[in-house]
Amino acid sequence: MWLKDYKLVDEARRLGYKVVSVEGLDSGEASLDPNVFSKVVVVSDSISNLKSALAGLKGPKTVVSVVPLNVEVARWVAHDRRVDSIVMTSRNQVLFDKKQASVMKYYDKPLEVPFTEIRGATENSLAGFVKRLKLMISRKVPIIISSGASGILEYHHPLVVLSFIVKLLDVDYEAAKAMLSTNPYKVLTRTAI
Amino acid sequence: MDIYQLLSVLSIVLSGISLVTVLVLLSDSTVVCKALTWFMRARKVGRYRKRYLAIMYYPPGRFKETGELEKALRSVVMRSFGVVYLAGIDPKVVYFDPGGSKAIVKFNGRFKVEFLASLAASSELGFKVIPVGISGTFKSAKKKLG
Repeated sequence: MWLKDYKLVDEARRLGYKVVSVEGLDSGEASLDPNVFSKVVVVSDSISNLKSALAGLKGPKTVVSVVPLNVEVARWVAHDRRVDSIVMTSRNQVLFDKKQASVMKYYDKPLEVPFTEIRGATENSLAGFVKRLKLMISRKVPIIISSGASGILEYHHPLVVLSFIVKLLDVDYEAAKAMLSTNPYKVLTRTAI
Repeated sequence: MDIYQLLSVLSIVLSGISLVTVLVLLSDSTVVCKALTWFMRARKVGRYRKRYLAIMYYPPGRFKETGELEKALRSVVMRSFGVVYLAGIDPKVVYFDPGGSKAIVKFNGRFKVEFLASLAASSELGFKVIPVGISGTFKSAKKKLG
């Protein structure tokens, strides 16, 4: 689960989450708790900027996610091994088409969607999310639903998120559960090693 | 009534019973089970299988009385799924503990996923609902609340 504030770690435990990744965490805080990972989110619109941003970023217990803002960056980032997930927001959702899905499938790169983005989306934007997520599911791209919460009110119980995803995407419980637990856990175990 | 008439009525009744027994034995058992289930359900038209959802809410002390919480839950469902699902889910607060920020909500069990999904909209109204557990009886729901 992607959190934007370290104070939410206690709330995560109360809600039943076992492992969390927190944005803006220094290495000292990350090493204190074995179940807390550091997360770095890079927003980029050019490959050269992204290359310089990614240099030396990857460390132990650090999850690197990229928010691509154009097609070139989205395609390039799909085959970069330093990047753990590609984030889809309402701003860049148009980039995730069939071609992007096939590249992500080929390199086994997960697509990350923050739950706060889905909840805060307008009607048109939400329809776009559903369409693109269904495309990714049909192309067997691993999907991660992260919380993206910066406050306690935005941070929901996993059962609530699970039910919401089941209803929104019309998928079965097992598929929705994989988006919340199995797929993120795979990324975190890869990062820990 | 003549004894012969009585015997003929009795024979008709017995032949009817034997005919039904033969039909049940010859036909598929699942079909019979389904027919029986349908018959049992038909008697309960208008009733639903109720479930109890034990919840905790945040921030503590946000709701002072039962009606306030119930109104907030109804507006959460209304916001997510509209009036049709609100009528179906029909959430009712049956237990409320304002001190511990706990409550038990009775709802239509057929709409379990919809009700839980709609709770995600609570953050837009300035509070958060944390489901503790769902059970079939009030007693076990209270046990889950602790």
